Amino acid sequence: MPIVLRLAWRNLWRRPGRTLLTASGAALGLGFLLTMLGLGDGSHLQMIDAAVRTGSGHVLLQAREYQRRGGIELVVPPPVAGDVQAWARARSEVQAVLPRVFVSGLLSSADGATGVRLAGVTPAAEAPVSRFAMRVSEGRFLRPGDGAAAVIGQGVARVLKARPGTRVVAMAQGVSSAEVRSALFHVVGVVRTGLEDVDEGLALVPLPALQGFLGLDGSVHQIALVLHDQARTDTVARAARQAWPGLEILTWAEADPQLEAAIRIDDGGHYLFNGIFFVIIAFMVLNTLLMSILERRREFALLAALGLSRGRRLGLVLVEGGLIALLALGGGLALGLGAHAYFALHGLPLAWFTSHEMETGGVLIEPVMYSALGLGRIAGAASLVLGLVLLLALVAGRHAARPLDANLLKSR
Amino acid sequence: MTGETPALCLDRVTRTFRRGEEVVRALDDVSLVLMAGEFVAIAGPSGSGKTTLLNVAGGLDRPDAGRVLVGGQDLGALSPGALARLRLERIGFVFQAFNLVPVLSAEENAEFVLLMRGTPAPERRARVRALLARVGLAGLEGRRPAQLSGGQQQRVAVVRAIAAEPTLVLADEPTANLDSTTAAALLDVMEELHHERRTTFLFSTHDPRVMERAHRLVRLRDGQIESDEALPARPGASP
Repeated sequence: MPIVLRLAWRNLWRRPGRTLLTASGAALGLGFLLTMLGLGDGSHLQMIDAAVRTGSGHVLLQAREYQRRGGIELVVPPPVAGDVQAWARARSEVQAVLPRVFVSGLLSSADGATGVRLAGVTPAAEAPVSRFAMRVSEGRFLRPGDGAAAVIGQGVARVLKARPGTRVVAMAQGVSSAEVRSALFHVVGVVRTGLEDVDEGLALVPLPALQGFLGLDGSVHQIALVLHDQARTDTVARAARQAWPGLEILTWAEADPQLEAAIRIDDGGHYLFNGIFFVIIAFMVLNTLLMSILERRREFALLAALGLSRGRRLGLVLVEGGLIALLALGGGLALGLGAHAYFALHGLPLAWFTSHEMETGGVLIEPVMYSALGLGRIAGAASLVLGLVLLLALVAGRHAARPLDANLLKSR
Repeated sequence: MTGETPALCLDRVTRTFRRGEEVVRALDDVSLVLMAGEFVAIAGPSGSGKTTLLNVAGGLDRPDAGRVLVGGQDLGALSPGALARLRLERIGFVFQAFNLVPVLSAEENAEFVLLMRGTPAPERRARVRALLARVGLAGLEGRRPAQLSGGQQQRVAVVRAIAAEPTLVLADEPTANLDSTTAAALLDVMEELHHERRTTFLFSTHDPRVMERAHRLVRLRDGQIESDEALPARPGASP
């Protein structure tokens, strides 16, 4: 073993308590950082997933200007709509292809009326991936073969005093004329998402029924793609832009900027909190490193007298710092990945902190947060701790690299 | 003097220290030349400037005025890195306070300078073990300084200073903590090295045993050289 490494290693164990305390501080920092990153990233993934499965999809293909104007006439016509769906189904990243039609209208029953956003969906494709299908509170979700069936939000049901079996009338403007059309639907289910805005305006009906009602004749407003892996969003969007230059292609972040902003703000808050925590940890580590070096001033003077250059003395302290960092990485990764594994498996129930449902960026926060950590995050956090400890060792090591003071060699 | 480069040359060296308001002249315009192979003792009462002279001679301390040359190299002209290299390659130190590295064993301390110089392990170990045996430390190679007596530590420090066969050895009271037998053994080793390699030795000492082995005795008082005399060869000393 090289002498500097041997010296550094033995120096660490002269005061094992202090070395372990220093390494534990940094390990705790890394463990905490990984836990927070895991829960933060996990909650963001859940938020994105919730948004994606509550409406947008990871990638949207629609007529140009539909995002901005949303006009009923802005459609993807039949030949293209079918080709786009075939193209999407052929891609391995795509879990579900969801053609949709939307129109704002009025839904009324014998007991009341309310404005809704009627969405025509394909039950067989939507049911496995849609949050609405998972949050049916009464009755059932749409099924293939349903004709004039409707699933409505809980708020809509309250106004209409509707429940499964209730007949409701939808009124909306058709695509080819200014006349208002109406159609009768049977409520088959009620959905409670927990999001007031959604629950008070939701009305899902089978796609062919709404297309027929509006006179869209096979056209759709949007083809939403749900992916197996959210990380592939940009790749699929890029491929779609190349394949379908005439269409408007949006990622979930572009389609839902409010959600993206909420995630960025949340990330910012995490970074600030982690930063403050790390500054505290850094002071603790720096303090113990400095103590260990100042206690050994005479030894560093001896090493200098024997011919160890300033660079090699500084190198010795850096190697000591590096060894502490390695101990910290071991401990921190064990702590952080242990916490991640636990929270990935069992989740962190928000009921521990609040009994209320929380909404952010137009998305209901799941009642249980699950941790999600990518390799990049782990490597980044580990590099941060390694870099920080080495930087602190460099700062403390300047004392070891000071010019030789012969007076230090006098005393015994 | 035959034009040979001196092993050590102090040219009008002054070193002052501040003690409160008072300025103490630890070395006051001292000039001293040691030729290669000299075996010189510096004597003088405590506070006469012996340790300061050794520190300045070895580049551990810088003079306020004057020049110090080791093997013809002006220490004042060297960068800290070059000075460290010169100490590593040419000078061996024995400090009054032993100054061993506490986390290294006796053998590792003794071979430290050789190690820093990059001497191959087999050669390093053979040389250091032979020297440790010669100073009576055979079997104690693996002990840490805390497990050795003061005298044993001093012997390790001496072995460290001479193991790398430097051209100049500066020793600050090397026998101060040794019994007479061990002191004699240590001085024998240093004398042999001096004869075999023409290593130059400069000791500070109060010890008559060291003074009687020296070939030249320099007396210091109040930072100045009081006397500088060649001593007659000791009967029975190796040539």
